[in-house]
Amino acid sequence: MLLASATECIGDVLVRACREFWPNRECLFQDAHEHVTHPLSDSWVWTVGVARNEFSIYRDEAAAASWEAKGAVKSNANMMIHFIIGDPLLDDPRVAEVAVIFDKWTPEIRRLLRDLKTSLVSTPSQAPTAEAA
Amino acid sequence: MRALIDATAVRIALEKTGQDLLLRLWSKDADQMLRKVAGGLKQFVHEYRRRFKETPDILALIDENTPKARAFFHFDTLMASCEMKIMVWRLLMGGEIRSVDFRYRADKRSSLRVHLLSADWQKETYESTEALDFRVLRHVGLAGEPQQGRLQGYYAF
Repeated sequence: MLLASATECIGDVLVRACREFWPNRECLFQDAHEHVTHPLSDSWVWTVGVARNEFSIYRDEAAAASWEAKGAVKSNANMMIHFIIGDPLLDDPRVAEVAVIFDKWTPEIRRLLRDLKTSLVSTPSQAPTAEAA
Repeated sequence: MRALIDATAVRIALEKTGQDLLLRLWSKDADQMLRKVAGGLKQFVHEYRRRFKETPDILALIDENTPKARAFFHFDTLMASCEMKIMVWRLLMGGEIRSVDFRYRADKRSSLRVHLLSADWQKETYESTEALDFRVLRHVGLAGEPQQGRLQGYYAF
């Protein structure tokens, strides 16, 4: 679980981090409540999509197809990352929790999480610096 | 159908994105400034459409993604040149900053050059020598390892 500034476009930061996590791949965005996937070249992703509170990013078309056909299996582990952005906290509405869901810990995933922590506190807005339990 | 960009639309955009302090600061010049800003935004939309064959719906962004609209309707963006507004919109639409060349000397001609990779993998370059354009750099975020960070995104304060 990470913390982020609730007034910022958190989804934008998350999608950019995934794109760096899978460089040179045609990542796909999927809203948690929709079946359709969108390539990151679709401007819908950067206006409407990143404003959604729960979504997945697939490494590429093959990863999305594998998840669609087989669900979570060993062969597609960590090829999809799911995000849930919480509502602003009751005790501090400037802050929101961000859940990052993946299959297994790897050095790459640790790097992604470090990258996200940097990104979420480095937007120019006044952002928190703490990590939730 | 897209909404008309005029002084009234800009006033509403500033209010909805929490930038209405500008209206107070502009005071009796507010109407004139709103018309000026609307003119700059219309020029931006026209030029963006000419280059990329798509129309940026800046007013729809207010409801679709208020944080991003707050960044776009920030004073620094509104006062930037058409070229830098396009750069900002490309960043908001998923563009990545690949490099920035910024040469500044007090009271001398300075320059800013930003190289982007757009969300559809196109290399783009944006240049300016106008001092007001340099302020857009304040809105860029940072990612990655501290020693090898990446500039990314465009955010409000």
